[in-house]
Amino acid sequence: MFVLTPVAYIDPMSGAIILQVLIAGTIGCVAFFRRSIKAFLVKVFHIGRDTDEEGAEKAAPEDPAA
Amino acid sequence: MTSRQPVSSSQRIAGSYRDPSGYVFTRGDRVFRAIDDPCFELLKQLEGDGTFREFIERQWIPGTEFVQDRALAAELREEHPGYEHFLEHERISAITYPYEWSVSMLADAGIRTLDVQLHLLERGCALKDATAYNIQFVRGEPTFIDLSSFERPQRLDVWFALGQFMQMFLYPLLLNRRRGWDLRSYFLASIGGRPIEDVARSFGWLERLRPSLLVDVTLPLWLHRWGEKGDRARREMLERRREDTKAQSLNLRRLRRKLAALAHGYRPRGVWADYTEMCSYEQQAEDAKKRLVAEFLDQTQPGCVLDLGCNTGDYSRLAAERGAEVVAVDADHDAIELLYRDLRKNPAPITPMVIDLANPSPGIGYMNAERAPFLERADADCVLALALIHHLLVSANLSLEAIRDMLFALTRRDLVLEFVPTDDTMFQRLMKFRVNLFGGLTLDLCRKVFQERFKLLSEIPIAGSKRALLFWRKRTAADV
Repeated sequence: MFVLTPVAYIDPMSGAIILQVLIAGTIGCVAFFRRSIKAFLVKVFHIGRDTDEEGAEKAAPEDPAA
Repeated sequence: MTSRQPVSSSQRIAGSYRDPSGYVFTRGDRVFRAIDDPCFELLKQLEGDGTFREFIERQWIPGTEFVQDRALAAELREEHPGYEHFLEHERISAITYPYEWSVSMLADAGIRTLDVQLHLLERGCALKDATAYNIQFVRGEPTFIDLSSFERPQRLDVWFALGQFMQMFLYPLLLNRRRGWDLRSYFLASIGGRPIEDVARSFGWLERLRPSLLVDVTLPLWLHRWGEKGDRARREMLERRREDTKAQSLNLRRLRRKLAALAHGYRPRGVWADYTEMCSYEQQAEDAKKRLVAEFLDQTQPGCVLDLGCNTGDYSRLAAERGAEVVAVDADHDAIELLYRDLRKNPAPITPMVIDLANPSPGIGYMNAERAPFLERADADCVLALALIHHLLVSANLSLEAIRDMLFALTRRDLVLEFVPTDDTMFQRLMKFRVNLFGGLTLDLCRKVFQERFKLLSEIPIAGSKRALLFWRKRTAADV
């Protein structure tokens, strides 16, 4: 069900990898359904145009170059 | 014409052998890295798009050049069969290891690793590994030294080295802040960092559910256990390349903030900050001492200075101002932490290290030689042993002869020794609850003992105190 590449020469912690795969998958799903989710939230809870999740993504963390 | 010598003049570095795509070796006083073809291709591309230059300018990687000189390249290929390409690195004067770092140094090392990874992600690359031993402090800046760790992975959405990153950087900081573990114990005990099972066990189950531990400790642990059961996680070659780095970027930036917060929240005890109040020195005596040390450094112009018991780093800065590269050593973690924080604000070519001279870092790893002991790495033209001798005599219970022999081993040439008499306030303070064994300790005795292995260049009492500065030079076979 979950795949790991054998390329790495270090011993990767499978838990960290599975978690990343899950998170990547979740964010992928959320991005895919973003408009529907947004529409749903606006309709039901009357939240404004900026949803929490868009706001969180916009609050950009400090740039590592700074 | 290259001579056909049976013994190559290259010397492989003991700690550089696990990565199949390359290794580091020294040749005379130059440092090279042998790299395989895929690695060479990748680094050439990074050079082409300016990443390489950017990394070097920011001091994220050490100064590096591809070996272009045909004659040299030919010699190297002969000495290192199987490798066609070589890099030359700038030589790093002071090698330090994670068990010698203070909290902020470890956090900054982790942050630098993340900086490099985030930048590489933007260019479709990643780091193969995230061990803390990939970082060295060069002129006070954490620098990523393992260039053969750059690769083009199959998946960019998952970082395979994240588990190792957490073991090497996040877990030790969490254990330090939440459980008071010191970094030295953590790293000397496990060269790869502590396994997640053991880390989780240090926390109660309720604490493990709190957000700060849940995502980085508890969830990976549960998923690891779940994956191991019934072989649910299978290893298969991926068919499709995954390109989306957004999730990973967000996660790494979050980790970056977390590391910074963990280190920032550490409050060093200002133990020896009180020193200046308790100290028996008048300002006049302190100034006189500084002047004397400065004069000596000006006359002898050492390239590298080792400041033992550096405390607040005043004399380290003095030496750095005179053009030396300084290694500043102290047994007190918090003193080094304060010095490092100060160096971030006022940079200088000083490398701080947490070292207990009575129990310096041993050799660890494969054959106890993968990571060299402190005494082997210490290599200074001039050693400063100021306000130190009474600590070694009283707290560490070393004899004068033992102290002399250790200082002899640490320096290549000169030694500045401050003699502290037994009726000095600081000496008395250390001896408060101890039997007085130092009745016979006089300046004359000290001079006599040291003269067996050092040549006395000059001896100057410090005006306004009972202490004296002795300037020594190592005796060579010629002197005796």
